[in-house]
Amino acid sequence: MMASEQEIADLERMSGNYEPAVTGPLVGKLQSTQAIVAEYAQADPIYIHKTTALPAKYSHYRTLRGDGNCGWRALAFGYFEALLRIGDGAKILEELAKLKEYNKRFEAIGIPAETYEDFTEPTFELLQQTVANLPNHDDGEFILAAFNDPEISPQITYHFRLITTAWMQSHPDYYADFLPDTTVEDYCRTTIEPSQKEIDNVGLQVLATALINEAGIAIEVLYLDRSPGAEVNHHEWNVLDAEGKVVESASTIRLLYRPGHYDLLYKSEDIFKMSMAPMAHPEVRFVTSIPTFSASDTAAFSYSMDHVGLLAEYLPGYTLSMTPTYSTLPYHQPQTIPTPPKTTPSPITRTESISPAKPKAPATSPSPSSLRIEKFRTTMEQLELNYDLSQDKKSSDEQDQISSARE
Amino acid sequence: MAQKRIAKEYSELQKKPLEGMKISLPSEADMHQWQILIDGPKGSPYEGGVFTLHLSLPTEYPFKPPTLSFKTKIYHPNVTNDDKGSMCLGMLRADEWKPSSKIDAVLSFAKALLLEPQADDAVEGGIAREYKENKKEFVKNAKAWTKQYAKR
Repeated sequence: MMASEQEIADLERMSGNYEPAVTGPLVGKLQSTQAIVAEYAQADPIYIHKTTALPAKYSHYRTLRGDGNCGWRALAFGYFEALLRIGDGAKILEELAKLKEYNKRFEAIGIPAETYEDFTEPTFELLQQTVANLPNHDDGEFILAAFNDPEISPQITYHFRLITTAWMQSHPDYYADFLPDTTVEDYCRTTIEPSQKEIDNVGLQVLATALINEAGIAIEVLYLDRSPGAEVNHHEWNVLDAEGKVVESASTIRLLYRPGHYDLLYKSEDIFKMSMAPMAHPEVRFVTSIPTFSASDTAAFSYSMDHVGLLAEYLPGYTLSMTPTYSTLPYHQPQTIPTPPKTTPSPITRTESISPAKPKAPATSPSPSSLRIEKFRTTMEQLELNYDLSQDKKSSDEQDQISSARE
Repeated sequence: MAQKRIAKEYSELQKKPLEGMKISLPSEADMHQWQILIDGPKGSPYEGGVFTLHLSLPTEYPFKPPTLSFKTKIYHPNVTNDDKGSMCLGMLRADEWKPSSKIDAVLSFAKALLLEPQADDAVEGGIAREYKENKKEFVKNAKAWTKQYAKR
């Protein structure tokens, strides 16, 4: 039996007009993805297929309040959660130093310290709290609490917008190509900096490049929409090693995208890693992920040694034996390749990752920043391609699928 | 954050006042409601008048924009000609507001609008049309209202 036009319209209304809660928690508690299946049980077949396939791969999810900040908040929350899951205090302090260094960029785009400090300080405090919580095998409840605090949550979330706008505006030539209808400055002013504009693909890409991938954290976005297929489409923003190869073992922030809204998704192993004592087995965590050891491993090791002093500030009981091991190497490698190893590297002076990227890559070995920019191009091309495909197919295929599934 | 930031901005503006503006708190107990006395800028039809504005800062400030209203009646395409006297455009719109913008920028923006109305973004269509098509008449009316309602 063919579905009547009215029935199709009803189906579209049920699935397409998903409206996220505007009153729920800013970041919800972990819950089973079976809840999403139940939510779509009455929807059209495309959604039923896609949502039914979800729990097998992604066991849990968190809702985010749909207030125009959900994507930004999901990524900020995911960043903290991933750092906790990685469980490497030295690494978190490295992030802290990097972010403090980033403040200079805010001044460069005309945001004075007295203004940005309100947004940056809560991030710094939560990072310090994350380090302090590592030995407690904390499951991240304090991160969830901070992100549901009506004071702190928007401040940290806005800090992530500032990072994005600052990075973009310090690489205007790179990003100009991807904004055919506007300038980088205007795009930042109208899309990134307003407090209630949701993140778009360009913003997500920039934040991945500027901070999240750089921290060794991958991003995966699953698109739950009406495009044909049995499973949700997905796109990954991966962590690359010095050779430009994907670091498969990277901790990953997973987002579920429904038109206009983002929630967080989890695989069961993400949950396991979270509840596992992070510092108890440092030697097994990344054993399979270390590609090769080269001359740079000494540099990486001495670098992590350098953090012992810093760690002691936060963790009085922190001793040399707890120094993070080579687990951090995959992420440090890209930074140690281009410059000769320093004898006493300190996080404060390691600004290479946030200094403006050199536009020209050397012919022999591309610099990490040029690799990242190159990846940006590829990603944006793929996204545009996906978009074109789904636009073309939507009108005819979608209708056919709905009708045939109901015959 | 709202309290702290508002207090900081208020004290900055007391230390370094904006030209032609006086800022005060109608109630010392409520930092979220400001009163601004703004001199009609030189060279505008509002010259010679003094306008009372009310700035209201939401509890979510700076993540939501302040609202600005004219308590003194004003003949202007961007200010509603009713008992609210609302001015809501550009940086003051919820979807354009940036938390990194500060109140001094908002007040400077309002002052700039007195010098140069944005007729294409008007709330008072009739006044906007007059501003665009018959500037002389607009200036005459604006001056008359200034004299009548915004006298020092």
